[in-house]
Amino acid sequence: MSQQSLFDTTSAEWIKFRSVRSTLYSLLVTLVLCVGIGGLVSFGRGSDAAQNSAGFLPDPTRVSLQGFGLAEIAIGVVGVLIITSEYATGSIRSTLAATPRRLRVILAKAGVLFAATLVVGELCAFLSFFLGQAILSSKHVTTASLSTPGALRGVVLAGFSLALLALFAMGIGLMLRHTAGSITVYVAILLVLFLLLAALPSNWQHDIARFMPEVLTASMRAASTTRSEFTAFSPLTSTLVMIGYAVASLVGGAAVMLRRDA
Amino acid sequence: MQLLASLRSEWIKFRSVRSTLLSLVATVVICVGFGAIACFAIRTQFASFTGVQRAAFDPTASSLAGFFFAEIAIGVVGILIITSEYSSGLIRATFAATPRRTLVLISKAVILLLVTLVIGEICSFLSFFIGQAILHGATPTVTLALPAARRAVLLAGLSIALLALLALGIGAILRHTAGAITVYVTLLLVLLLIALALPSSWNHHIYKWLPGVLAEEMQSTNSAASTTQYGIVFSPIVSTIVLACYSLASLVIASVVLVTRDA
Repeated sequence: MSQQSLFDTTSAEWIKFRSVRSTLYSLLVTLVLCVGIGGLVSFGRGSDAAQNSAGFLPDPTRVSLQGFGLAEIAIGVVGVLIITSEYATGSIRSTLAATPRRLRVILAKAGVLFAATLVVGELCAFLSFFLGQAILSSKHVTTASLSTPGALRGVVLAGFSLALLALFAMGIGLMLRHTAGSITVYVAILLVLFLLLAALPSNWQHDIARFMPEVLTASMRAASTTRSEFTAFSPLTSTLVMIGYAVASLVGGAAVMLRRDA
Repeated sequence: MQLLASLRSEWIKFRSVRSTLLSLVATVVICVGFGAIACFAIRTQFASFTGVQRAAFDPTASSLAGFFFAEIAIGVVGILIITSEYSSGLIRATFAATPRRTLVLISKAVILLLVTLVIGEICSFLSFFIGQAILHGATPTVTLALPAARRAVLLAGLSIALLALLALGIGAILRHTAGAITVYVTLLLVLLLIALALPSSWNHHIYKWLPGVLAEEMQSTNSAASTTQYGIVFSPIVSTIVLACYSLASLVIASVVLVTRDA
């Protein structure tokens, strides 16, 4: 029997990923909700700006990408489930029997997840952007096009942020092995920390806020760099910090998986 | 008689799983711990607060700052009490033993309500006392002798129990842990973030109806309907009633689908 390659493992993981109906549904729901809410917010903010501020909107790119708050949660659930569902059903044991080199399983899963969520993320970003700008334009308020400075970067990085969050969530799933616990921890890191922060005095907020995933991804989506109530990192620095989080989470997950029973 | 037997079996299932106890202990520790951190942070900063910040300072609310976390954690407990039975297949044994499915749901709801009410009140009273003790000397503090503070602390605990019931209904409707937690978190937190992104003429109508806002208003020391930057919100008592209606609605829908569907 010939030695398996990383390519074989990846194609096995791809079959597992695409042949489960819930993956497709989750990704579709992510896309529909993200674009839908982006459209709704564009409609609302567009009407508001037309009435109250003579049609001026500070960052129309960011307005059209407001659906990403929800997409971030949904994509995290996909990232968690790619690994915890195997522990819940016990299929992880067949997986590791077929491919005893666990690091290769993790790499293959991460590769499939990254590719799929990057495609879905960019679809979300570009569709949200075009729909949002079309709605804003129908309200005769400030709009952006992909040639507006920073707009293309905001849209591309918005899609990329979803892929990074999916990897981050997969690392949490690897560490905890349980769906409920992993989703709770993911949501706590993403949203609850952010809300808890509001209870702290403002000069503590500024030092901590820029490191929060929610603030980092918002900065990645922004076309203008002077956006924030917090002193956020620039979009490129934010991207690097998010990459750091995703890698750290996967390395942590890989470290415990290599040592532990399945 | 039948109800008593069903209640007993649900109680055994609830207390004999280690994860229930661990989740509840984690809820209390993180809720009280974060409230303490927030109070400590305010204690060190209060001297540099402006007049406006001092006027807006509410010692009760600051000590209850950890409730955002407790709201999520308790929802997960409420969801798992039913979805874990579907993922392990135990639900079939449960329904074989107690074919009246509504009775099963009622028993689960009663056990969950009692336990989460106790946990919620422990969270709120501990948060309050520890928070006030930390603030003492550096900022104005309150005691439970103040009726508004007493109400806020009691209702904060109740809000946790109501959210757990809402989550149980969502779990029973969806039957999947991941989906149910996602929907619960979306209702509680993501809707809030989306509503804040909408223009003020819209979110004035939406904001006060959101479950997260209702739970927060239950913890308010302001007895009347207060005005926020997102419009006029309900008073603590009305917020309690609206949230209780959400929980009831979620359980009623759950009992309807539970009876009409396969296990």
